[in-house]
Amino acid sequence: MTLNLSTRPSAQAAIPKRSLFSGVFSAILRFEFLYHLRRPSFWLITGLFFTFGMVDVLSNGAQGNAFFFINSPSQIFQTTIWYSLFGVLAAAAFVAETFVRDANTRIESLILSTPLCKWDYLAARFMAAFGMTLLAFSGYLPGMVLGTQFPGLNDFALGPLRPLAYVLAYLIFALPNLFLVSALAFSLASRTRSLVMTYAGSIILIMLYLATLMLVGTEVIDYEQYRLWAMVDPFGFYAFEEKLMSWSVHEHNQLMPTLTGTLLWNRLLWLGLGVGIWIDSYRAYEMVGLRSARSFGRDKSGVVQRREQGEWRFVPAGAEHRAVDENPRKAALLQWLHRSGFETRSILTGRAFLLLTACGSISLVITAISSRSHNYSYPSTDLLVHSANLYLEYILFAIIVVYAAELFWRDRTLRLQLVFDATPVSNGVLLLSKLTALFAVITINLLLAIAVMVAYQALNGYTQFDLPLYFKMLFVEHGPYFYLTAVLALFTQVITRQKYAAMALTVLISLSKIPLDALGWYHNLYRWASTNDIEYSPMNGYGHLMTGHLWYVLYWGLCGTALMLTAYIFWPRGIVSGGWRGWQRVWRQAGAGVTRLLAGTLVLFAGVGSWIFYNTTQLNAYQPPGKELTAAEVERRFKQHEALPMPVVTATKLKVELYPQKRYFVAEGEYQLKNNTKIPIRELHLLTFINLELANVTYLGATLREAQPEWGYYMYDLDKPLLPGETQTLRFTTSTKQPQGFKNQVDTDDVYMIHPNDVVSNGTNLYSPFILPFVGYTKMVEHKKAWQRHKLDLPPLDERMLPHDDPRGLSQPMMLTHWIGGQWI
Amino acid sequence: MLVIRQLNKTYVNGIQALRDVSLELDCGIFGLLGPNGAGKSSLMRTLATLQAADSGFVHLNGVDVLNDPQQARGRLGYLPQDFGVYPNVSAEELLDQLAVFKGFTHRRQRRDLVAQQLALVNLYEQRKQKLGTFSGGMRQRFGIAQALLGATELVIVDEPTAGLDPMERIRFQNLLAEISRDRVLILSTHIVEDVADLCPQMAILHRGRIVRNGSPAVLTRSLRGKVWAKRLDLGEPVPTDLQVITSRMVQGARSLRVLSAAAPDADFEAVEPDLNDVYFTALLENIEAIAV
Repeated sequence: MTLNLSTRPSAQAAIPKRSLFSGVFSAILRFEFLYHLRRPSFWLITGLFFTFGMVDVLSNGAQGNAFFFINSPSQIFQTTIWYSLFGVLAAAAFVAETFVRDANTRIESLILSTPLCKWDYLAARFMAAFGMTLLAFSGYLPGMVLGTQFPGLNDFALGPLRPLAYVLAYLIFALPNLFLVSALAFSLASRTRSLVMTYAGSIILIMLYLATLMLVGTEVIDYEQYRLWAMVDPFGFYAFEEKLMSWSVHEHNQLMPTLTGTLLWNRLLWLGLGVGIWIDSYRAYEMVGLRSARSFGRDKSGVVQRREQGEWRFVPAGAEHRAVDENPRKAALLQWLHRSGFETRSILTGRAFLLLTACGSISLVITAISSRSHNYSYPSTDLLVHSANLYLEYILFAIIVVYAAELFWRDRTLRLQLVFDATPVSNGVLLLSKLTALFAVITINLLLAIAVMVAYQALNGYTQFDLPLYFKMLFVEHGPYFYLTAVLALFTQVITRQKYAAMALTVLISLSKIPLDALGWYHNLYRWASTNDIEYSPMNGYGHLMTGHLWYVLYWGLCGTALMLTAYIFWPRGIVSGGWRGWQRVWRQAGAGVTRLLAGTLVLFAGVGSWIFYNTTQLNAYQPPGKELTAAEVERRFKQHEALPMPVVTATKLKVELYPQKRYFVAEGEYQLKNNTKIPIRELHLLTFINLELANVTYLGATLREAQPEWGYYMYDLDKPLLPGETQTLRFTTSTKQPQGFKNQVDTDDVYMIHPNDVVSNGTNLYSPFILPFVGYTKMVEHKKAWQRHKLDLPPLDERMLPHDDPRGLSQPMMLTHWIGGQWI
Repeated sequence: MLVIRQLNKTYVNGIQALRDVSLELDCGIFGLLGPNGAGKSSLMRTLATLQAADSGFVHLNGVDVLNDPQQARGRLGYLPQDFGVYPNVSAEELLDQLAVFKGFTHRRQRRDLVAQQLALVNLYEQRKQKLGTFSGGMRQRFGIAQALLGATELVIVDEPTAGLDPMERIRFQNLLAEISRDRVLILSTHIVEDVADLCPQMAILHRGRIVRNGSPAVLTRSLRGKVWAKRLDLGEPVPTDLQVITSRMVQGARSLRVLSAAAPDADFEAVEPDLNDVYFTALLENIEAIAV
């Protein structure tokens, strides 16, 4: 696909006519635009930025970051800068592709031999490619705007739509940043005609940005040198941040950032550099092809010599020409080993992999550093792995998808596939060796992460190197997701037989969690490669959460096996005829062994799935109401009793029996209750935290009038009222049920990952409000962020705290049952 | 011995690539001639197990090629018309890889085989050289080295001499002649001379059908006395009532060859037929058959 230039317009161009935008110029421009529009890459990248913009807004808007607007001007500016980092991708796909294309398709000599002038050739094509880069990148704009229109977003997170903010952010950041990366891509691609080198240059720009991140400081900001470092950042992020540092939430939401001070100088500097790079590359460009690096001369002399010497010998087929008869299974095993080694080597020795590895190591160091700033802790293994995984989840995922496409298409693009296909090698060997190479890439990346993090620990004087924990966290907790992604990425290539469609499908399946979240579909049985919530804690390890994780890993592992068996059956060997008939024929030709194996795998998959289903929906409730929901319901149902006089607890005796292995507790308690009010108390209300069972309530002369165990609310009538100043004893037993099986997710919105009443094998944390009954309705159930109350359809809290001397406050427990009259008992 | 019977193939888009193709081939080079789109590549790919047929059967020394492709692949070598290589891998390394695919899993045996194979096509000294630096001729020789790996009973080569210089072409032809002594070698080509020089047996494929089959000498002899030639002056019209085999410019004048039982007129002289005449008359008849 290239320029279709008839000689006539070219001849016109040869006439020294100094109009910058001649007919040739616009003809080239049009051709280039249409060329890019026809490529799936354009639509894919536009779709990607669109998805970025929308998904970002949706996930921010659903969670709601307190009172910050997700569409405030400052937020739009920040997001635009952040996306412009990814503009590197678009610049490589359009600008670099444009200037590498002619050399790769060997059409260069045809074009360069026409009287086309340099300006028309370079400027028109650059303009078209840059235009396409902008166009594809701009996909984020409708994405972001559309995202804010979605129903179900948190109202407190949404400000008014301010189109000016989008326009200004685009002009101040998107345009100059994309011009800079495009000019650099033009410079490198036109000089080297190599995509890999262009990627390398772009990565250096990103590294500069990351370097500023480190230099500015992640934990303590270096204010003295801030302006200097802010100038070094090519994307202008820190120059912009300087403006926001002193802004309040209100200012964040309302003010429009201005182009002044450091930000102005930063923009001028980098835009100037971009223009300089462009002009320099334009000047340096010579309208001749690059001299080929191929050494034909050496070869020819050799051939001539041998020609003179004589013959091509022919040795008739002898015993050595026959492959040693081998057990076919053993032969296939050896072939797989050999081919896997070959495939893996081909990736590892590629320049792209070396660059990715170098870039990856630096990024890992930065994630390690960033782990310090929000955790104020030693660089302990679990914290480092936690932050490294944030990086791996994006970068390693991208590496897998890219290399799966590369491995599947390389032999086809090189026109070597038919040669391979005519040999007796099994489809299984071809498929599995590609999977093995992908697995090797993943393993190397995970090991690299370990090496970088251990080195980081050593440099920081932290010497408790916990290698088993590294392996467990990276290979058992996070690893399965990556290995399964490799399976999916390869499977989609085999089934769709379309490079870009397969890549898009893989990304789509992996991102399907986002719409599923929006729909409230959380079951991991249909969320690709997801397992139950699992988190390492230094005290308790993975505890009981590991069991469910392993079951899910087995479940998805079986799914992956089934995908690979399907890919084996439908592996395209030779020229494959499309259509339904072709698929049917392939299926019929598959051996009975494979189809039986596939059926067996599917049966096992269904079996494990049923076991998980039983555990997560029958033994344990799938989506029980969480603490916030329960509290909201308690407020709605029982706030009416708030004004009833209730005794306060003046003394508590408690005997708690913990059963760490069985993960439950039983507490026998005794309250001394005193009537601090001025009126007799005729009824007693008890309120328990969710999932807490209350039993054996004894109080002289109390009879249970109403029990609502679902909400933990119990009402007792007292035969004999508790008079003002009088004291009485209440005895009770609270307990949790012994948990059975495992759960799909942790159903709490309180202590992260651990249910508030969970007893674990080591390090159980019990908190009295969660294990003891409250006496009477408590305002504690009402304490929520304003936007959360709004979301739960509760009225806003207008009376957040009573004055210090308010008699009602003095007679009521405000926070805890045991808090009375301003002093702890 | 390769037996092909009633082979048919129709593509999804309705094009009938092979129609009732039947051939019996013994050891030696078998030339397959045909214009572009005649179905040569479809036939070659079907024989190389790379494409399924709709009906018919192919047997190679008792192996059912269509229904047991894996067994057949162990016995055949294939050199596609347009094939590529890994540019950053040496000749030795890629050949080694292909030997593994052909079932040579013993390292030592494979090393010897690869060395021998590279020596056979005179690439032994360049075995460490990256394939990306190979010239067209070297690449083609590498191609034949891989096609001959193992105990091949059938070698399929598609347009192997395209792009070779005259010297290399002769060497290549000699090599093909030698290796075909004890196996079936199918040579697909556009170049009639290649077939005339090399092939004891041949077939002409046109629109998916075999329109000629036999030895080039016998086929040529069958036209004896039927080919007439004449030089036309510039501007003189080509007669329309004659069966023109070829009409081409030779040294500034038009040289006409026609098919006729007797001399069309006094200006024509009888000439000795060649394989080109066989080829073009075959296509000619076929066009007429379809037209009728």
